[in-house]
Amino acid sequence: MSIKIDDITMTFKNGVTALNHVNLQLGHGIYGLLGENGAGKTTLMRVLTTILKPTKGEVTLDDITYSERNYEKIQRKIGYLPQELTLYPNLTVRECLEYLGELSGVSKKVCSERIDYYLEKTSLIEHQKKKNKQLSGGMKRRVGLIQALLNDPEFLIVDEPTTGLDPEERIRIRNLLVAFAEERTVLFSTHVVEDLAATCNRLAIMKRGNLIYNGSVLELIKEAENHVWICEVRDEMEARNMEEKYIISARQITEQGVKIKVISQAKPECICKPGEIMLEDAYMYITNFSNDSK
Amino acid sequence: MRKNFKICIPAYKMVFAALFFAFLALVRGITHVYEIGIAMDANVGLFAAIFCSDTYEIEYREKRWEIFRLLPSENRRKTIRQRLYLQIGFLSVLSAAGYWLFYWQSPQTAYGGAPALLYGMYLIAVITSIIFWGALSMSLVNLFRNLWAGIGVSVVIWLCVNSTWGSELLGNFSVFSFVFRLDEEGGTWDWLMGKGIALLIAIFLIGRKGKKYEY
Repeated sequence: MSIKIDDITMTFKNGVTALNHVNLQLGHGIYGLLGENGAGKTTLMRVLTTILKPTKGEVTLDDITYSERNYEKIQRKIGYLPQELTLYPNLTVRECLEYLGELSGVSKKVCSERIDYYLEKTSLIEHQKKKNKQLSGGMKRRVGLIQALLNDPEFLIVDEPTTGLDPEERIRIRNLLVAFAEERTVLFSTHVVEDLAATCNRLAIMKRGNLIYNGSVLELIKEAENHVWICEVRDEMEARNMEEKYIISARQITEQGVKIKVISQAKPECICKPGEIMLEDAYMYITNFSNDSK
Repeated sequence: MRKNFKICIPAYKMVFAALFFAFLALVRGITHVYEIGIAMDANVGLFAAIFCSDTYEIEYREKRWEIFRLLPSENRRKTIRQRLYLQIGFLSVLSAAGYWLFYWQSPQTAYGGAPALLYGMYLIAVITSIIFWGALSMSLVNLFRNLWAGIGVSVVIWLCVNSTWGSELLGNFSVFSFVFRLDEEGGTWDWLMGKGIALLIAIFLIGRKGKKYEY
């Protein structure tokens, strides 16, 4: 499976450019997609699902060009969990999955087997007879993820799949995605950096429609080397002053005062030492200081 | 089919449809049996336009359109058509039963033909109206991608067709020719022309394909 995004631009009728000359190539494995709200992640995902047609540029999936005559062929290879999804409220979990599975062209028998498998994997087996409207937010999200997997897609696109899940469930979903991605491609968009650190080898970071980073997690962390500092200040007031001057990725109240993690290109003007770089720090560094981010 | 029934005819729709027929039988006064069909045809048509309007739009309103659009187009069309047929069937059954609710008014049977014949005529007329107005409003909502625009235009068309002006203009070709042509004499079948045309238009609307109207 290979997805090639070649210089795509997406400008809406109201003049907003949601994607600006984006280039990206995806192979097997899980790719993380990070970015603030309005960065263009959902637009990029919608383009990749064929829901939106880019204004300029070309996308290919296994050498099949995204064009209207190929849409059905492409759609058969895709599974999609959108950011906002309300599944049929009056159907039970099982009925809803059977309905969507059969509509996507999966035979009844195979569909039923897959439903059993994924209900088990997502701990929903005991809730399969509940109506969708009776489910919690996290359960609805899990049902949404199962519907995206039912046609056994080669390319799975998931927009914030872990939203509303408790920590244990998040880990379970992450593991499910990792196992699923062994022979396939998964594009995983989230705000939870921790989820990406646990699942993805490669990351793409977007800001204001531009792709500002595309590379491995390790490379991203390396980019932030010598730019993450731990500073200790005496009190809350001093901490607030620091927040006004620098980008702060974490703060912790200690016996001595307040310990803050500063992201800065130069050493901050206070007593500080280099800090351990977490993925979140590197993400903040790249979104605030990379040349493309300005 | 059971799943589509649960999707397109939830409990609240069943209740308000039943209430509509009960209310109509309560407030619309009739003297003769032949007037029941006249009382119901146009009103049931308008009700069908509202009832069926969200057949596909529900996927947008309930935020499922992104996954629905990825389903194979033939399956998509098939399932939406099935939902429309189910709603038409449901309203037809209610219309068939709703006819008898008017009997609480003890209508006279002296004019208009045999009661069985009048009932048969009524069924043909009202089911055609349900099919026509259901298909029309669903198509308009899909075309405008807006529920209220679709319903609004359907209501405007209904008002025009259901007016004296519309009756004079279209004559036997009107979808409501049954309402305007049936009289005390009964037994006339001139109105079938209008119903036939309405049915053809509905078949065209349901069967059509095309990006602009796609569902």
